Amino acid sequence: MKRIGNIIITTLFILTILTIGKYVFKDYIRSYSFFSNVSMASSGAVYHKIKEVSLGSVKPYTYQSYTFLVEGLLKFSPDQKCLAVGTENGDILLFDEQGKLLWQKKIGLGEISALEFSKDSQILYVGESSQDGNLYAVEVVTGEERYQYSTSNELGANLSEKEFPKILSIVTDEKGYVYFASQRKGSYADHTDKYSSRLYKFDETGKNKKYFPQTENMDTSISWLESDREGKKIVFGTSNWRLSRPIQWDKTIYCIDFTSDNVLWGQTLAARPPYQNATLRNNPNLSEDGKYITAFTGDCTAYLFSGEGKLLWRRAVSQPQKINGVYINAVGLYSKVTEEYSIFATTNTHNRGNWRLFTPIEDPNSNSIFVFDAAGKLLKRSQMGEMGMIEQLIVENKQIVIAIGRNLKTKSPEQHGVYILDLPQANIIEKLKTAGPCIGVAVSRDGQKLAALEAPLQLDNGEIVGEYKMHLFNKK
Amino acid sequence: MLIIAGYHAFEAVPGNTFIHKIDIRTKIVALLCLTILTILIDSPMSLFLLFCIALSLHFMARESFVRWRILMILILLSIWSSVSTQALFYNQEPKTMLACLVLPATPIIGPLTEGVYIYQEGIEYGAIQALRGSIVLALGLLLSWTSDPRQLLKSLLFWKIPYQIAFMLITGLRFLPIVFSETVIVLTAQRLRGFEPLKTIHVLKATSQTLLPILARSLRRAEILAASIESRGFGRDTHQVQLIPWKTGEKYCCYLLLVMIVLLIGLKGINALQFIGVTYIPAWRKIYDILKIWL
Repeated sequence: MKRIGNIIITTLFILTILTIGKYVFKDYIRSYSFFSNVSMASSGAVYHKIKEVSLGSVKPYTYQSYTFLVEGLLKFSPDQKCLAVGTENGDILLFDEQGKLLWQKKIGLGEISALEFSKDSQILYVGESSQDGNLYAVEVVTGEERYQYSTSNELGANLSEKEFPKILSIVTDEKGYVYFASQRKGSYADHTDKYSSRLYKFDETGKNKKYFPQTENMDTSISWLESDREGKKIVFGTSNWRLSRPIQWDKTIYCIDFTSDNVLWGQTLAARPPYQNATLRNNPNLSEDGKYITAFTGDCTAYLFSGEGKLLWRRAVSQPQKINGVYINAVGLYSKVTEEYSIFATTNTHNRGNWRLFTPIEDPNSNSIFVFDAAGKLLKRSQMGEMGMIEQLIVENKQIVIAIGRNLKTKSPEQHGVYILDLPQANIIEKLKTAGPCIGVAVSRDGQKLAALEAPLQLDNGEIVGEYKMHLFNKK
Repeated sequence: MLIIAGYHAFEAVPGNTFIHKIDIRTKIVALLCLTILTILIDSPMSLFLLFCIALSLHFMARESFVRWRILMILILLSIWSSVSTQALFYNQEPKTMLACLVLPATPIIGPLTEGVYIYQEGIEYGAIQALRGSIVLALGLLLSWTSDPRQLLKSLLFWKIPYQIAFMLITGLRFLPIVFSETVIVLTAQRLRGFEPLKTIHVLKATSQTLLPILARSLRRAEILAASIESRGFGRDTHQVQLIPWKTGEKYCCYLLLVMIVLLIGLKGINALQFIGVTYIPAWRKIYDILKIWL
């Protein structure tokens, strides 16, 4: 009897300690195959799942919050051999094409805000938001840091107000240069926004540095950066939400030549009432050959420009409507341009009265995909609102890939996942389901591999569905 | 079972291991430093590693299974009591309900409590917090089991602690096993009279019938002890037997530990200044990164 008691106590003790140990070190042991469970239920007709990797604990989404709570970044290397994942917990993970973890780094104090591979797939560039606002250049093979650069040298940091520089967007060109935009958001005494931004161009060693502008910061909010294949044209969009005074860099979209430090052209996109100024988020998009640029403003106007800045066409996708004294409208969020088509995606309906609150009715054009031809003719509108919120749009290999997150109206978790649509019909050809909202997606250049990021969601009854994890799929 | 097992649990047993050979002063300094470290550290990973170190020291001391059993029971009680209380009363957000113990619709108790639930995050938080207590418990027991109390008294005198206070402290510690032995005697006496104090349903009666004799016997022992030490001239300024010299290597190890603790307190302070936005030293970025992950 005593022996049985001893065995029970010892077993219980060992199990308790092992359970705590597994929980404590879950960030380190999650990536090994024997801890990864693959649910084949989420495989589809075209893609099958080969790996699921837990990315640690994060605060889950709720239906009460409009804001984006969980963030994560995914990117396939141009040679399609690696997948980089940046997590909200500050982990940078590099996987091979089969989902095997190659290396893992912690960024420590900062929060990962941007990821990009060099075109030769040798360097992974990681941008962060922190007191330093660092860009890290990391060797893909070894995971060792090649160099780092602090953008607080130019933008500064306000410690007491926690106004830190943040690298918002990184792009690379075929000559081995990396371009990135860093920004620090502050506020004036009247609580309106005050921005300081800078563009950077570094070579692979980090020794040759160029800045734009060379000697001063821009007084605008840079939301997105794009480069053509050779780095001859750098295009960026601005998003000055609450301006209380005139600014020098007041255009909505700029195209610059970093070699000569010249602004090639800039366009002020007209805002539709009740908006005072047009804003761009997650776009403009520049075609690889630099011939076309799409832009999709927050008030839902779609634009196609030539590489020289000539407006080719403009289409109003949604019109702000006054309902019960409050303006509501679908929000333009993503745009992509291919040789034949321009693709635009809207997100949730915006409440002009208070952007954090939901609207009593939905704009019929919210959470929709719009496909236009080169002449600006609408080929297809695909309403994804029945599924949920469009969290990311990718156009690769003549396919549209979208990440679908929470459905704020039906509150049904059934529709979360990755949706693959054909071009130009925008018909759903594949659905890869995730338990929680899908908040990010990446596709390899040849379309053979697809990765998705899932976040946990707390339902109104308190139950949490989904996990913070990465799903990796292979084309059958 | 625990009471009976603990009869000799708190008495030191001579040994020939590395841990037994360490000077008592070194052990006290190390215990103090590690206790401060346990308070300083917030990282679950570091706390768990420290806990594993504490357990491995018990392995190095080659503790008997009886003592391991006591250690395991105390740690399990510490962990599971923390886990169960946090599972029920966790008040942070978000929290995931695993089970409902009392529905809000339950008469009387339901509206009062608004339902009683078990929360997953509470279980996890409780387990991590219990590690702190378990580390101190394991290290305290290690000191107690591998150190002669007389040496402990001498070490306190070495650090100029007043003789009366040091004596009281050590006597208090020495009394613990005696209280256990008294308990065993009282329980045995009650059983011989046909009363089963551990099985009876009259808890209050059983408690008073057990505790009162223990208290009476302890007071009697204290009185005898007081008379005994008084008759031996307690408090007179007499020559004390000196401790064996403190090994230089161990002494420097203690200095090193103390310096490390001071350094860690300093770093923790610097990190706090960064967190509240008072000052940030860009050149120390690597240190801030390490502090965030491990401290």
